[in-house]
Amino acid sequence: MPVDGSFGEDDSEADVVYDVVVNHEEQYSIWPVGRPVPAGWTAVGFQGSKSQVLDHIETVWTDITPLSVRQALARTPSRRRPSA
Amino acid sequence: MPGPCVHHLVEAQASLTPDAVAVVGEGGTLTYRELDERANQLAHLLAASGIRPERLVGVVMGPSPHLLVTMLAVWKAGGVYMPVDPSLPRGVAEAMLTDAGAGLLVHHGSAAAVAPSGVPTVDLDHVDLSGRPKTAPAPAIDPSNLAYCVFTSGSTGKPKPVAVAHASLANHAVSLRDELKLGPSDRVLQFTAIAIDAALEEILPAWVAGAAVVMPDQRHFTSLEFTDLIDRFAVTTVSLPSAYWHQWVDDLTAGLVRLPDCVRIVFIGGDKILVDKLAAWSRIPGAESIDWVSDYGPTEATISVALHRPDHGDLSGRDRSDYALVPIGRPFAKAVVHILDSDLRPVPDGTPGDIWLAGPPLARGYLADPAATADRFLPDPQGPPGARMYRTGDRGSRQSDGTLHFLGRSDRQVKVRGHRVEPGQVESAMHRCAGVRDVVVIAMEDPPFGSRLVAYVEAEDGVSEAAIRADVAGRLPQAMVPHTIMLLDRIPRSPLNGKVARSLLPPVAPTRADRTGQAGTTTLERVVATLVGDVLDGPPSHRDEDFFAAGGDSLRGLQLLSRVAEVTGVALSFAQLRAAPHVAGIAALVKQAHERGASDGAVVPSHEHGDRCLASRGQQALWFLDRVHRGAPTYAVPVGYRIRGPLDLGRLDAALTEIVARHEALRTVLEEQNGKVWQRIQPARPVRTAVSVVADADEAALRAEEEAGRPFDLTTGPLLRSACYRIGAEEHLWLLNVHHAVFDAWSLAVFWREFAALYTGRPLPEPTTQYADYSAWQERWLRGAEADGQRAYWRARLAGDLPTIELGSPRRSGGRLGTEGFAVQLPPDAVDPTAVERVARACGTTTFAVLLAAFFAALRRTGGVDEVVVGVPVACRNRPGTEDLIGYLVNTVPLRMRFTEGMRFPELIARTNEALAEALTHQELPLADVVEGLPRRGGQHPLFHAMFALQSTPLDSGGAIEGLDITEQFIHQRTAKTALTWTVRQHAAGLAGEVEYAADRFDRTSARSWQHTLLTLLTGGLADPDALIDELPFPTGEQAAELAAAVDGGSDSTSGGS
Repeated sequence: MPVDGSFGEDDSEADVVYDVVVNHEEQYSIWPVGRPVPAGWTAVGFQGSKSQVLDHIETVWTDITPLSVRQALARTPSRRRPSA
Repeated sequence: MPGPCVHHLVEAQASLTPDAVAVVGEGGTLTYRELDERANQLAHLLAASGIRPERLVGVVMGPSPHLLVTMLAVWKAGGVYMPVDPSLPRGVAEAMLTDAGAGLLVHHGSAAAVAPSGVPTVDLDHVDLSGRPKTAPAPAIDPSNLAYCVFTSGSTGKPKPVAVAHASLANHAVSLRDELKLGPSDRVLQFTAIAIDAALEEILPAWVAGAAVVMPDQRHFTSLEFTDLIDRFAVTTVSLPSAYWHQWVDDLTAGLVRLPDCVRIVFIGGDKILVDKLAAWSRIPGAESIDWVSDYGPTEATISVALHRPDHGDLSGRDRSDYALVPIGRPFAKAVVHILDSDLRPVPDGTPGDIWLAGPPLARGYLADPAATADRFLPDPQGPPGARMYRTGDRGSRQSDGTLHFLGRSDRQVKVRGHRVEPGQVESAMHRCAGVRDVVVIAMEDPPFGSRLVAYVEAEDGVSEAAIRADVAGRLPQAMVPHTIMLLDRIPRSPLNGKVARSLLPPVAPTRADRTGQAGTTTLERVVATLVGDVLDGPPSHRDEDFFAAGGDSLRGLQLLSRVAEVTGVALSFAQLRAAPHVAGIAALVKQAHERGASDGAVVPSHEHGDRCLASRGQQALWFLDRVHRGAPTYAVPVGYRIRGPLDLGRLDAALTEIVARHEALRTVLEEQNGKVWQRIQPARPVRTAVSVVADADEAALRAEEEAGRPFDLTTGPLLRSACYRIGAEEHLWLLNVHHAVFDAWSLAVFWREFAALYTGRPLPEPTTQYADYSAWQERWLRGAEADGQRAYWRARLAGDLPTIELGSPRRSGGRLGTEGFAVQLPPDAVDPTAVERVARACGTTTFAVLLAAFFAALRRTGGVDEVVVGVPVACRNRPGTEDLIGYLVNTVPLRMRFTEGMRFPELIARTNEALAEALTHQELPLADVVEGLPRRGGQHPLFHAMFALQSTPLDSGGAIEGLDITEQFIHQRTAKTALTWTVRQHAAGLAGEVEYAADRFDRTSARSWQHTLLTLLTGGLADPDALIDELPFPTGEQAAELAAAVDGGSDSTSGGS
C-alpha cells in the first residue's frame, strides 16, 4: 500500500521558519523558530524558509569535518614518508 | 572520542590468534598473521602514496581476499575506505570518486578501466610489496577520524557519500559480535555486495571475534549454489538480504535444497521481512536450533541500530494484512531511537511517529554536501549538549515492551530493487513528458520482490503508453522508470483539496498476463516458457525474449533458476542465465546438462531391449485395474477435435502411421507371463482412420462418445485408434483415442508437435529414446538410494490414520466404486482466470495451487472432514531423455491436507503450495510403490477419493496447422476413475474444464449441486481472500441444485451416466 506523507513532505512544512544553528564542533543544522534551541547549540542569527536556511548553510559550512578533528589534523605534520 | 580504531581491534586479534584462519576464499585461506602482514605491507605503500587520516581511498574491486587485505591496509595507513561497485558504468564510478574527493584509487584486474582524471591509482596487479615492512605503519589516527565512506542512493538518483568515523564502526563491530555471540569457531559468509555498508557487518564483527570470513568471488548464487557454498566452507553464520532469504525459504520448503547442519545464525537485513516466510521458516526441520536475527538501520547510522529475534506473536498475528512485516526490534550498539511527532516531541508508546536516531552510531554526514547534512542531522533535544539526531524518514512506533515497529515511509520513499526511490521525483519527471497532463506515481508492494512503481497518467488524445515510457526512460535512471504505466481518462482527485484520491485508483492488472505468444518450439522450451511466465507477470512473447529486458531482475532470475532446477533437475548458475537470458538459451543449457549427465539419472537409449521387456510400474497397475474393471475404458484417453477446413484424410493417416512407427509405445501391447506383466512391441503397421459420414455436429458428438466408450484389448491392441466423423466437406470431428498404458497428457503434447510437422510435410529427427528405455531406467531407479529416500518420505507423509470421506451418497450396494461415470463441464466463465491469477500472485504461488486449495476446501465442506487426500497427476518428465517420449510416465501423487480451526484461504493456499512443491520433489516413486509402503488398512478404502488435474492444451503451443481451424471438443468415455475428478484446462482464452463423477456416488442433480458448491467456494475465496475457510459462502444442497439448474441447466454437452 502506498504511504501518504506526513513529516517531511507535509504541505504545512512550507510555512515553517527555521534558525540556522551551530554547535561546539562547528556542525551546522536547522531548528524551527519559536521552539527552544537545544542545549549546546546556538542560533547564528540567520532565519528563513527551509530552502533559504539550507542555502545559507551551504555557503558558511564548507567542510563537514568536526572542529576537533580539523584541529587535530592541523597539529599533525603531513607525513609523506612512512615512519617505519 | 575514546576507544580504539577498528583496525586496532583486528591487530589485537591477530596478535592473540596469529595462526587462526581469518579469511576463507575459493583459492585458499589467510591466517590472521598473513592478513595482518599483507595489509601492513600494502599500508606502507598507500602511506607512501600520500594516504593519511581523512584521505579517501577509492577501492574499485570485486569481492576477493585481496579486497579484504586492501580494506585493512587503507585503515592501517590512516585512510578512509571508500568501496565503489566495479560493475557500475565507468562514467558513473568516476563521477562518484571525483565528487566525493578521492585522493587515491586502488583497483586490480578487470576493474582497471575506471580512472578518474587527477586521481592517482594503484593497480594491485602491478605492485611489488615484498620489500615493504611487515610491521604496521603508525599514522596519527584517532577514533574520531573517518573509517569509511559508502554511497547511498539519494532521492534525486544521485548517490550521496555517507561518511562514518572509526569510533562508530568499532562500536558496531564489537556490539554485533556480542549480540550474535560470535566466537573463534564461527565462519561468517560475506554475501552482501561489497559496496554496500552491510558488507562490513559481515566482516568486522567476525574479525573482532577471531572468526573466519568466508569470501566467495562472486555474488549471484542460486539457492543450490548458495547452499552448496555453505556446506563446502562449513559456514556457521549467514547474512542475507530479505528478498534473497524469502527465496531460500521457498526452496527449502520445496525440498529443492536442505538446510545445512553447520549453520547456527541466520542474519537478515536490508528490507522488509514477510511474516509468512518467517512462519514457513519455522516449519523447516532444523530451523528451530538456528538463531534467527533481523536488523534495521540506515547507512547514516552505521549499518544497523536495532535487532529483532522473533517470538510466537510474530507468527500468529494473522489479523494483519498478508504482507505483514516482522518488527524492527530493539536498539543495540548504544543507539538511541526517538519516536517523535512533527513538532519533534516524543510520542507515547504505541503512537505512530517519525523514527529519529542518535548516539554513537551516527554518521558524520554527507561528504561535500553540508546542506543535505544539516537537513537530515538536527540538534537532539534529548541528547547531551550539542548532540545531533538523524531523521530516517521512516515511520514507526514503540510498544510498551520496547519493541519498535516499522510503519512505512513518511516521505513516500520506497526501495525498488535495492535503490531508494522517491515517487515525487518520478512524477515531476513524467510531468515533463510530451502529452502528459497529470500523473500520480505510487509504489505497489510486490511480495516477495519488494516494491515496484505504477504511474497513472492522464494524457492528451493519441499519446500512447509506449510513447510515455520511451520518453520517461530517457529522463530517469532505470530503477525509477515505472514498471507499469496506466492511462486514465481522469485521475481521481478530492474535490476538497485536490489531492489524489488513492483509494479510487484502479487496481493494476498484471501487464503481461494477456500474452499468449508461442514462446517455445520444443516441449522443454514450452516448459521453460511456463516457468518464465510464472516468475514474470506473464509468458514471454517469444523464445528469444530477454528475461532481464522483460522485467526480470536478479532476484527473479534466481527464482527462475530454482524453478528450473525443481522441474528439470538441472541446476544452472546465474552466470549461465546472464549469458543466455531467454527461453531458448535456458532450454538448450538444460538439454546439454541432461545429455552430459546421461549416465546416472537419465533415461538412456538401449538398442538391445528387443521386442519384449518388463512393463513399467504404471503399466502393471493398469493391467491389473483393467482386469478388475473387465475391459471398461476407464483408462482410455479420448481427445476430440473439431476441424474446419480442407482436412486431408490421406495425410492424416500417413502422419499417424509415421508417429506410431516412431514411438514403440504406440504399438505395444501387454501380456502376463510367469506372474509378471510384459510389454510386447509389435511391428509397425499402417493406421487407418475409421471415417463415418454424419448428419450434423450433434450426431458426430454422439457417435464419438460411443466410440470413446468402446473398450481396448490390452493383449491384442492396437492401443491407438483414430475415428473421423464427416459433418461436411470442410467440417469434421476427429477422435483420437489412446490407451493410458501407452500415453499421457505430456505425450499428447509430443504427439501434436510431431503430428503438425508430419501432416504439413516437415521432417522430424529420429527419436533417441523409447518407452522401453524408460521402463528399464525405472527398474534400476527403484533399486537405488533415491527411491529409498522417496519411499521414506511418503511413508512419513502418509503415516497415521488416513481420512475417509463420503462424497455424494451411495446409489448402489457394495463399498467398491464401479467404473461407470459421467462428466459435467464447467460453464465457460465459471472461473475468472484474472481473479485466480491475482490471488496466486498475492500468495506468491500459481494458478494450480489456488485452484487445488479451493478443491480441498470444497471437499472439506461437503465431506465434513478435517483431513483430505487428493490424487494429483504429475508429469514425471524431469529425467533427461524423457522429454520427447510418448508413453505412460505420468504418476499420481497423494496430497494430504489437514485443516485447522480458523484456517483462512491464503494459509490453505500456502500449505497447498508447500505440499505440492514437496510432492514434486518426490514425484517419481510410482503410486503403487507408495501404497505398498503403507501399513495395510482395513476395508477397501482407496488412498484418495478425489483427483485434481490441471492441463494446458497442446493446440496453443505448436500444434497449429495452417489452413485448418482446430479446436478441442470434449469427449468423455462415461467412466470414472474415482468418486470425483476435477480437471481444469488452461486455454489461451482462460480456464475451462469438467468434473468427472462416479455414477454410483452421484446422479446428475447431486453432481451439479456439488459443482455449484465448488464454484461458490472458489468465487467466495477469490473475492475475499482473507475469509475463513469455514465461513466461505456455502449453498445448502437444495439451493445449490436450484441455482445450478438455473445457471447452467441443460447447457453442458455431456451425456451418459445414471
